[in-house]
Amino acid sequence: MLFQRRKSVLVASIVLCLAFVTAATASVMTGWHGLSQTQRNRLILARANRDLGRDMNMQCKEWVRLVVKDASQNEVAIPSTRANNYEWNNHRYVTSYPRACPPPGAVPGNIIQMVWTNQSNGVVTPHTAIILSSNSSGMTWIDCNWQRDEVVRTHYVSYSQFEVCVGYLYTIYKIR
Amino acid sequence: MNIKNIITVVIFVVLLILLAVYPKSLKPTEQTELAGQNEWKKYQDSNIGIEFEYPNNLIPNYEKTVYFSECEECPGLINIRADDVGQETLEQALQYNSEKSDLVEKIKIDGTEAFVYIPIDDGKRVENSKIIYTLRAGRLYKISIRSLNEGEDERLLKSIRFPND
Repeated sequence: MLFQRRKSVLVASIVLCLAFVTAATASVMTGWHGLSQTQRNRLILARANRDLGRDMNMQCKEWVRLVVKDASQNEVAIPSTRANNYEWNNHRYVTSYPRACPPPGAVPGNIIQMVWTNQSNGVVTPHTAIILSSNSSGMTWIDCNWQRDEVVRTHYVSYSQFEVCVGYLYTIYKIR
Repeated sequence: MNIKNIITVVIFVVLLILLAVYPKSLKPTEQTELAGQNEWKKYQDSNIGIEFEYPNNLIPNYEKTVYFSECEECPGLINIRADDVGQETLEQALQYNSEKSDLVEKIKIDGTEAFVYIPIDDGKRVENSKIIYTLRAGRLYKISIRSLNEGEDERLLKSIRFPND
């Protein structure tokens, strides 16, 4: 039984590696803009995962910008954030989704820009994260500085918590 | 029950025991929360050699460092970390710091010089955010504070003590 489990973990790891290798190879062959959206999202996630657990000495948006720049091989630099802190300025390679709860566009590799409001004092914190996964009850993000120590981590946020603290002050972007 | 099943059960029990013990070992050995003035609490951590007061609506979370947030799924509002850097001055300890930030103030924390920075993200200063560095006995303390009520960050900084010195 243990052997079977190990075998399935091994197979899953190989499949995941192959997916990243395929996306990376396709990126070299066709260039970033010639890839499918799924391939681009995979490359963003693969680059983000390389920093997992590392102290980046960066705030959240700067780190996401670095990830996208590296993943796209300098093809895309994500634009600066508007004064409302939950939208970016327009950019030809960035597309947003309509807002709803649960958020449409919460697929792995997309990026979420939001304003998180403290419930005790109403003070807001802008934040940028990459969506790692989502299910019917919430999302898992990979981001930098969530704990205020400039380290890259993954963490789960339920839709109920998201609705209370973010509401509709967010935008999800795909990077083309 | 064959030998394979017995080994599996033993491994499972050992893992359960480790899971029960390990999280406690991550927590500070001496961490107490006492009711303070104006509903603030006192946090004492002998592992990193610091104590301070914090608003009682925040909860401490323990990973490699301690951070305080409004809820388990909420972002950190206070983060304290300490690294042994073996430097004699704060300037030396920060000379290779590549963080994008503006030095805005020099203050004293428990009698020791501390530098207050405002971090920069996306080309602009992050509102309601401060990073404070101070060096105590060769140990560099980094205190990140975000989105506290007006005056609360000042109160927190004034309450900091380094009892291990």
